[in-house]
Amino acid sequence: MKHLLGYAAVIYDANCIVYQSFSIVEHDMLGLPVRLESPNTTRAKQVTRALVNNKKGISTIRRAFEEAEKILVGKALISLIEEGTIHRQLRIKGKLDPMLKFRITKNLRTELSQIKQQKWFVISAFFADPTRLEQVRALYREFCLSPELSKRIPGGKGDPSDVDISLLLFSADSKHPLLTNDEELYNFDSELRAKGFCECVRAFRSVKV
Amino acid sequence: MILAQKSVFGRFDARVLNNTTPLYAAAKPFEVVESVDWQPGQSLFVYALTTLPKVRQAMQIFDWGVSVTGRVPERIWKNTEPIIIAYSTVCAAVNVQARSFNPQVRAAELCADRLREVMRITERFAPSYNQILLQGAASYCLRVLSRLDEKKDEPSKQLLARIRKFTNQVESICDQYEKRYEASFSLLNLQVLEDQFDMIQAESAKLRLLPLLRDIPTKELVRP
Repeated sequence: MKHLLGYAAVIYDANCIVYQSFSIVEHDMLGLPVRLESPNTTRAKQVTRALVNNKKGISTIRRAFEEAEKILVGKALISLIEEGTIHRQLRIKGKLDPMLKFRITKNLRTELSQIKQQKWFVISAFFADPTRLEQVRALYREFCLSPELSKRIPGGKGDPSDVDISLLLFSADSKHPLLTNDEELYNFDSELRAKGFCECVRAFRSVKV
Repeated sequence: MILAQKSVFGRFDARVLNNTTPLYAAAKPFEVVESVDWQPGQSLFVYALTTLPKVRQAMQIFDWGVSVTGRVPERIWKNTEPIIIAYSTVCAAVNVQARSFNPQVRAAELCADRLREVMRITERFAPSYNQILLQGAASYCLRVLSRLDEKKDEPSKQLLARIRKFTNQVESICDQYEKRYEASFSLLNLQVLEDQFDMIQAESAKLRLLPLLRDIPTKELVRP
């Protein structure tokens, strides 16, 4: 956390925003209220609280927030269903009807929109320069060609998405560190910094509260 | 009056003579054709973006015989009774259906069939808010339709019309995005559809057919 406190604000990627917001109340099979949370929610809330208590802001770019709202809310729920977390917490034995999935996802999205109301949270209209985007893509192609560096790209992962690269460039532009769970980003922190493609990229899980 | 004919490209091309142009009908192939007046000697060519065995299967379901080559068997087209045709080129599945004309009851059944098709298609889409919205809304509407079938009062008819309109729009989106732009489906803004679904919920709750989704007990939202 110490290295983050030297900055006025920290950038969250779409996953971090979903972790922060994934805390909703649903009713179990007996009709009792249950708080559903993702495994990373407690940690995300601790990190956010520590930053806010130290008067640090949290920001992201519009495209990342949209990704969280439109894609990751669904993915996060489906992954919790597949892990059995939702079944356990709601004491469900059978399959969830799509109506229940939608009810949970809608609540999650509502919760996500609450973060926009927070004074410490800012969504930037930053739009990455296409030339710079292409330069980062070219750099990742170099990483893939290097036997040594390519080992740092997790298996099954392709190149970073445009949103991920835009977050990197937003980090460089705003001079704020980026917190992310994407290994293919934080594993190349030093190389990206050396090229001026980011201020710094930190793994969300490595932040000590 | 609606006539149906096969277009050059084999597409089911509904020509609505009274109130719209052929171009409009072709551009909106997912509207339900309400009825077709069959004339002796007139052929109906049914086209679906699916395999012939599946079309045959659909025809068998409705006792249309198995000699499907695009032409409806003679004994059908000699029948001058109006027939409801629901057609959808949404995907490779049974999507050609024919029923005898009975608007109120049949419309609900047809709508339910189309919603099941929507659920089947969206199940294959990558998880996203939009995918879960369409699946959830279709499931809710199906449950409403199953309770609506026997109701003949005016508010029920209005609710059915609303669900059908919603289904038309959802089908149209599924078709556009299923084959070409599935990756961008999740980024679509479907707020208009979500608002319509909210209205369907409000009307269903008012008619005591089904509570608002937020008020349905979880135990009723679980499948065995």
